[in-house]
Amino acid sequence: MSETDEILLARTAMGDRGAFKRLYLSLSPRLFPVLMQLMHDHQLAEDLLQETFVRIWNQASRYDLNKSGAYTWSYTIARHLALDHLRRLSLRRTQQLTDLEIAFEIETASESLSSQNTLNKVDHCLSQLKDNQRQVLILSYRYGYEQGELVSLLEHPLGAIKSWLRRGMEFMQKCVSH
Amino acid sequence: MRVPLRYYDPKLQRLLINHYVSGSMSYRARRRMSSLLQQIPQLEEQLLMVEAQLQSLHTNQVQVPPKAQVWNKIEAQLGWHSVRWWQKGNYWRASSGALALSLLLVLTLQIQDPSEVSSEYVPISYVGILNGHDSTTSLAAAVHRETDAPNAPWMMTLHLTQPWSESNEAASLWITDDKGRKLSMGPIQVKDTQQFQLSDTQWQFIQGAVWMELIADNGGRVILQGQCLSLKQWKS
Repeated sequence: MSETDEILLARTAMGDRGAFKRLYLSLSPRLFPVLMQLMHDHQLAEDLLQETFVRIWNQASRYDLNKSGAYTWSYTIARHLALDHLRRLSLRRTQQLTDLEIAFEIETASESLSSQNTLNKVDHCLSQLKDNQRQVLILSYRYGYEQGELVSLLEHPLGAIKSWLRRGMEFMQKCVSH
Repeated sequence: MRVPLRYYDPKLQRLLINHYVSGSMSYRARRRMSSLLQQIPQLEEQLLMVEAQLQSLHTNQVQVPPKAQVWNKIEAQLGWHSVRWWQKGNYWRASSGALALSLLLVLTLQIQDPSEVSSEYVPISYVGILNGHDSTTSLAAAVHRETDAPNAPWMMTLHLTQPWSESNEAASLWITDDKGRKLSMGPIQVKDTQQFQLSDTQWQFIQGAVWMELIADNGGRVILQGQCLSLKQWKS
């Protein structure tokens, strides 16, 4: 029987260090780019990856196979550690980005669909969002921008940003679950 | 802590999850949300469901393994391979500071001659604190001029806290320099305090010293070991 991430996580919960290392080798190459995308900083991303796996080890007994896959569970830990870090320090990354980088990220957010050949369900749902909603959702979810940053980045009022994000999230959940 | 009933309202739960997942919550709100997630299993279930739905926004990326050191740091943080005591910088700073101060006092008392009141203070140029992995013995080594006269010979003073073995095995002090070369400072006696004059070769060598070891003459066992710091390094 091959060792799935779920089996490795279950063994980790029982204190199996070898399984934990194999889980790390399996998940870290997938989690690291997520953290890089959110943090824009190699060292910070590594620190958070370390923190993520320490938490995985400490909380492995809380993992429930019926609720999610091992990757989703670990991904959620990693992503929210990164968001906590960003919000705690109120990292105003817009100040560190060049105009070119900002333009590139907005462009990437807007055109992420057209650049993919294999549209999955999420992509299909994203394609049905209004441009503004899609842009705000991707910048917020994938790149970790907070609302204040999006106001200066996209030059729209806070109320509009909030509304686009809320509607975008609601639509995506309905669309993906159908 | 009891969770207010309103947080069991599915509508409110959905709203909270959306805010949490989209990253639009403030740090304080995120802390509260994190606490709620621990207390309300359905809320955590919803969180995982939404993250599972949206995670493909992140998954179309090339896999990038992190540096190998990350795993080592995880192991260290979990206490699996603890950093050895002599590898800890703070240990050296603290122990060097404390023992060098005590050495200064010892030296001052030893060197001070009642008839020679002009020479009360002899500055230490190098200091080494040698410890054993499995013993409480410490050997403090200091390199200094014999007096504060600029051309006074260079001396090494050693202060031993207790014998390093019951059999008083013969041992010598060895110094390793920054190029990895080793030079013996000669045999060390099991005495509280001892002092000897350094040859020119030894003094030259000590200026590049990074590590000190007390090694058993018979068998080569490393009894005590520790960093050698110049006064400048020690202060920084």
